[in-house]
Formats: sequence, C-alpha cells, structure tokens
Amino acid sequence: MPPPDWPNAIAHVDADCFYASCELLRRPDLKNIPVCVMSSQDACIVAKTYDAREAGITTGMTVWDARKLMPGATFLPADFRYYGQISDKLFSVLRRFSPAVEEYSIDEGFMDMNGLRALHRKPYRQIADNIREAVHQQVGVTVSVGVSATRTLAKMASEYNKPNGTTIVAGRRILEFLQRVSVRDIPGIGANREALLDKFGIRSGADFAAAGEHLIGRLLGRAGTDLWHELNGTPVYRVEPEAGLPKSVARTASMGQVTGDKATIHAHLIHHAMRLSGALMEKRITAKHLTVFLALKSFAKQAITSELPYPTADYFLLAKQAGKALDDMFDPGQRYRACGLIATGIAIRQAGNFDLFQQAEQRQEEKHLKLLETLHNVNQKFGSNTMTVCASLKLAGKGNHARFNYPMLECV
Amino acid sequence: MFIEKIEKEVLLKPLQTVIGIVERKQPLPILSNVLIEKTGHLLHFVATDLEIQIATQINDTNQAEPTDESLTVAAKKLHEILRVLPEGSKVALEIQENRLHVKAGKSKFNLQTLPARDFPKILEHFEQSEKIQLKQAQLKKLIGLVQYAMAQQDIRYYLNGVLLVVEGANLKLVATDGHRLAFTSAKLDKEYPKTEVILPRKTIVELVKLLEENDEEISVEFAENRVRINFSGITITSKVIDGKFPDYDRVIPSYTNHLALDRLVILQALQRAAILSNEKFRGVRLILTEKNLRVSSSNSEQEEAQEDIETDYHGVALDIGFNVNYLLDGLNNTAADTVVFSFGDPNSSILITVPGNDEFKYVVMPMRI
Repeated sequence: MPPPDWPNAIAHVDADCFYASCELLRRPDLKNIPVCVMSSQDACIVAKTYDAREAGITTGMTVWDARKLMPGATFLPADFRYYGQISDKLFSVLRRFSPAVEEYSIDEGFMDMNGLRALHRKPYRQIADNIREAVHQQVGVTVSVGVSATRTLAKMASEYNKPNGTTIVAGRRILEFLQRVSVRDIPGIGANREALLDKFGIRSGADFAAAGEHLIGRLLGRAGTDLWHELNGTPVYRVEPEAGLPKSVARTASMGQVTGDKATIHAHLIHHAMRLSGALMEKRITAKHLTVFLALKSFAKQAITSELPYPTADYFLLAKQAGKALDDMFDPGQRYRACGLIATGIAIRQAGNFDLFQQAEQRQEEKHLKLLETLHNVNQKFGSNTMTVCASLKLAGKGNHARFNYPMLECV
Repeated sequence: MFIEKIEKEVLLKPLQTVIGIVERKQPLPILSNVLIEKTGHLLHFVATDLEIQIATQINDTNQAEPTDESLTVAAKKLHEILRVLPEGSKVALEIQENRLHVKAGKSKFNLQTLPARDFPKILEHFEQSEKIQLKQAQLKKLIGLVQYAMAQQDIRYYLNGVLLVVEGANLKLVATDGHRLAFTSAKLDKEYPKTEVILPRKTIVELVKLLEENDEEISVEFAENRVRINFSGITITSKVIDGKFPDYDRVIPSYTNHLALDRLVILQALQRAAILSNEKFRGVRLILTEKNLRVSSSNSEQEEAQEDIETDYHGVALDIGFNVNYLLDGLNNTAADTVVFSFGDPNSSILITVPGNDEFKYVVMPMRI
C-alpha cells in the first residue's frame, strides 16, 4: 500500500546565503559581484554568495585563503544585529501564512502546514511559491522552500533546489526523492557517519530508509532511528512554534595572540566559563554537555565533549571540566590562537526540583549559584570584570581583554 | 485443517494474552505476527518484540486427526477479526498456499502468513538458573506498590524499570525516577541465593495486565541476562536492563519527626489542591504547624486553593513544597487507612510509610515553590 500523500505537512524555509543577501540589500552597488561576509574578527568566512561558492570558497575558510582564490570578491565584516532585523522581517512574513512557525535559526524556519490548503485554497506547491514570492518582495532576500511529511524530509527538500526554489515531496514521492540524495544530505549525517553507513552499503537516502530500523539503531543509536522514522515519513520531530530553547550556548574567542602558554589558555577558558555560566543563569537554563575547543595556530581545531555530572549552570563545574579537557588536549609543542566553550543539552532550569541521588551536589550548586548571582549583579552595576575569579586575571594585561561577546553562530 | 472448529472466545483469549507486546510499527515485519504452533491437540501462541516474549497455549480437542503445523500471521488483524465476529461464532482456520483462511459462518478472511521458522524466538533455554516461587496475587500487589515510580524514557536507562532483589528469604522491589522512590519487600517461602535484576518497563506493564488476584503459584527464573516468569499457562521471557541500579538504601531516610494522617483525608485534600496547582510544575505546599496541616496551591493565573487538616501533631513547624502528582501516586497505590509522613528540613526528602508495616516505603524529594 503506498503511503498517504499528506498525513502531515511541514515546510522548511531556508534563506539563500542569508548574510551575503542581507549585505546586498543595503549595498545594491555590489550586485553581481561575489560577496563574502567575514566573522567579526575578520578571520574567516561565515557566508558567501553563490558565485563565491563556485570559486571554491567555503564557510569557515580563512579570509587569507579566500582572497587568494577570489581576489575580485568584496569582503565585508559581519553585522549580526542588522541580520537579526532582516530575520525578524522574514519570520513576520512567514507567520502570515501559518501561525505555527518555528524559528530554527536566524535564517531558517519550520512551518506547520497542516490544513493550510483549505485556508489558502491552494495546493502546497502554490502556497510554497507564494511564500517565496512574498519574502522576496517584502524582505528582499530569496528563500528556498521544501514541503514534506516530516521535518527532516522538508529540510532536505528545501536544500534540494537552491537558490529560490520550491521542492514538494508528497508521501508517495518520498522514495523517489530519497533515491536522488545521498546519506550525506540527511541532516545529522556527517563524514564519520557517512563512512560508517557506507560500510554497510547504505549510500543513498533510499538505502537509509530501506535499511532495518534495528541496523540503523545499532549503527547510529537513537538519533539514527529517529532519522529513520523521519525519512520513512513518520514524524518524530514536531514543529515547535514557541521560542524554543537554544540548541547550544557558546562563549568562544580568539586569544588575541598565538600562544603556547598553558596558563594563558587556561585563563581564557576560565573567563569563558564565567561568561557561559552567566549566560546560562540569565536564561534560567542548564547544560548537560560541555564542549571545550582549542584552535591551533594553523586554525585546525581540537575539541573534547564531555557530560556534566548533572544539568547545570554552575561556573565551578564548567571551569573544572574545562580545565580537565585542557589537560587532556594541551600539547606543549603546539601554539594556539583561540579557545572556547560550547554548552549543549540545554534544558529549562528545574528550580528546586531535587534529585534523590544527587542531593549533596545539588545543595552545593545552589550555594554556588547564589554566589555567582551576587558576582554578576556587582559586575552589572559597576562594569564587567569589576569582580571576577582569580584564575582569569592573567588576561588583565594590556590588549588582552576578550573583545568578542557574541555567541558563536556556527559550531562545526 | 489447521483448526477445524473452535469457539471464537477460546481462540481470542490466548491472542489477547500475547498481543500486548506487539507494536504497530515494527522494524521486522514478522514481529507484527503471532506465531501459532500446533503440536497434537496443543496450540501454542507466541509474540515477541525481541526484548520480551510472551507465550501461552490452549487445548484444541475438536481435532479429529491432529497434525503438527505452524505459521505466523498478523496478530492485530487476526485479533481484530475474531473480536468483531458475533458472539459464540465457531471458527475454522486452514492453511492454503502460505495463506491463512479464516472461516466463521458466512464470513471468510484470507490472511497472508510468514514462515514459522523465521520467527525470532528468544532463547528459552535456561541453564543452571535460580528460581523463586510465590503467589500470583502477592507479586501483583508488590508490583502495584512500586511500578508508578518507574522512570519513563530517562537517559539513566537503568531507571526505566523495576529493580527486583532476592536476598535470603526476602524479595524486594524498588522503582525510582530520581525524584521519588518506591520500595516494597515481602517474605519468600525459603532462603534463596542473592540475585538482582532490573525488569524493563514494558515487562512490568505486561505483568500488571496479565497477573491475576489468585493464589496460583508463579515462578520467576533468573538467567544470565534474562528472566522467565511462569504463571497460569503463560510464560513471559524478558531481557533485563543491563545497568547498575542506584543505591536505594542510601536515599531512604530515617527521621524523628512523624505525622500520622488518614490516607483518604490527605489524598482528597491533595486532589482538590491539585486542580489549581501550576499545570507544568504541579507544586503544592504543605505547611505544618501545631495540630494543623495546611495544603495550598496556586497557579500562574494567581488562582489559589487552600485546605486545613486537623492533626495531633506536636513538633517543629515545617513549610515544604512537592510535586502533587508524586504524593498522589504514593497515596493512591497503597490501601492502608493511615499513612505516616516522616520528614527532616524543607530541603530534604519526605518518607511515607504505613504504620506497623515496614514493607512499604515511599520517598519523595521536595520542590521549591
């Protein structure tokens, strides 16, 4: 029996090279010239137009390398506040089509499309085309739209026909669609998982969907079986219109120098731990996992992700974990230029919901949080770094203060 | 003829017994099927989800010339067909060219089958296993006292089930989700070697459904990573959760402050307060003073509920908050007339017991409201 066409309908709307498009909006003079947007420190590329991509410029590439590849391109510093304003406009247009819009990131969103055919008196393809036209006319950037039965399929569909395209994958077309994409096109399947799946003969999206759930579960765990159901047209992930929790909160920065001094790196990490703890506390959320990363002089990255003993925002735990990861990763023969912390497994802080098996730890955490709150209040009143932990004092030297307080936008 | 003539009710009963674990969405098509094996006059029914297997059998004495045959067929479909046939219908089953023909009166059904040899039976071979025996009603009661406290899809996977401990002549059952813990114990007929297993949530749920309130014997056998439970002609073979259950003794407190309450009085007061508690956090406040217990709640719309219960309490005052569902669960699942709340400070857990019975303990962590 073929699957029903629309047991569920979700649209994924993805802006085409968003930052670069935003820049073109206010710099019409740059039209038809390749544009690359650099990270605020002007170190690497965070977005580029399609012509720049064709020249081989990739996200994350250093500006130096990109300039060599494409000397004629225009390189612009990033302006995330401006991009945020354009993003708000984009989502307000989407909300006119369906009230159930989830802002997945600054430049992409999911929409619950169920029942919208009756409202707009149009099939999904026309609604999707209307969305694209409306965004183009009223915001000025182009988006690609994918509509299918699950989030994952919708996301893959929007990616399929970029830029400024509509891809509709109805239930009975899922298999046909999956035959045309590789497992690497499935969100959540990276190089490592791709290599693993390859060993079991799973190469196309269709192979993945046709493999037994059991096999996928064995290879990729729960995340894999969730994807498997999604690819087979059974929704696992819903559209969550309420401002969802962030997927990660990061505090990272260049150290402003290239150093082989472990104490300096440690001081930077401590400083990040303090800021990260503050950010988590302010949002009343906790993290379950902490990734500590170091960037070498060569820009190569090293990272260790470990599980925190319990979901927490406690600076003392974050700092301890960061220190341990540094001990494990630090190589005295190397020189480092950047470091940072990324908290994931974000959940709402269950205020005072005590756990039977972690009573002592939770009590200690409460004490710590009280102390940290006081510290943050002092800093808010008298200026940041009025009061901080001694371990980060090594940074206090001239020109060594951390300059970049924006959350990292892309954690590759 | 696979089955010549059988009353639909007779055939329905074993199907109902095994069908609980057949899930709608199955990775392997054959897992949606029930295995029916006929040996002589005996009909065996087996279903599995690879974690648990349930088997039962009936006698089919109508068979003139019994043969040995077996097949697997979609469990839900066969069950549904039998269920909607008129009461007292006589049913005949016949296998023809890998299809199962079901006939009842003027109705005919033709179902596809899969070969019985492909059916993944869990190894039923139990070598040198330990085996305990008790009464069915007894195990049903014990499971009922703790099962509501099991975790559900917790990442601490070892909490998604019930810990079963055999120690000397004692059987202990423990379940916890990290916020509350239910403990119960019972005496066994004799001493057994020490055994500890965690039974998965699904197995517990099936047991609750299938166990009956009678004095029939039930046996529980333990092997390396499986258990086998035998009762009323039913055999449940289940994998156990491979993990370390937390040290439950450590979190069962002993306090000196006690408050005795009529179970129904406190239960109903909490049920009333629950209506106006925050839908998400479900907090209620218990304020204990000399001779009075005040139960109160409020929600985000500033609506409030409050109720006073007279007590004979003399001791330190206490102001403590709880997730009302946790308290209701414990109170709903004991049958005692009186319960005792024992407590320390507002940040410590509370212990609920039944006077004169140290076989039941329920520990709940407070929440700050």
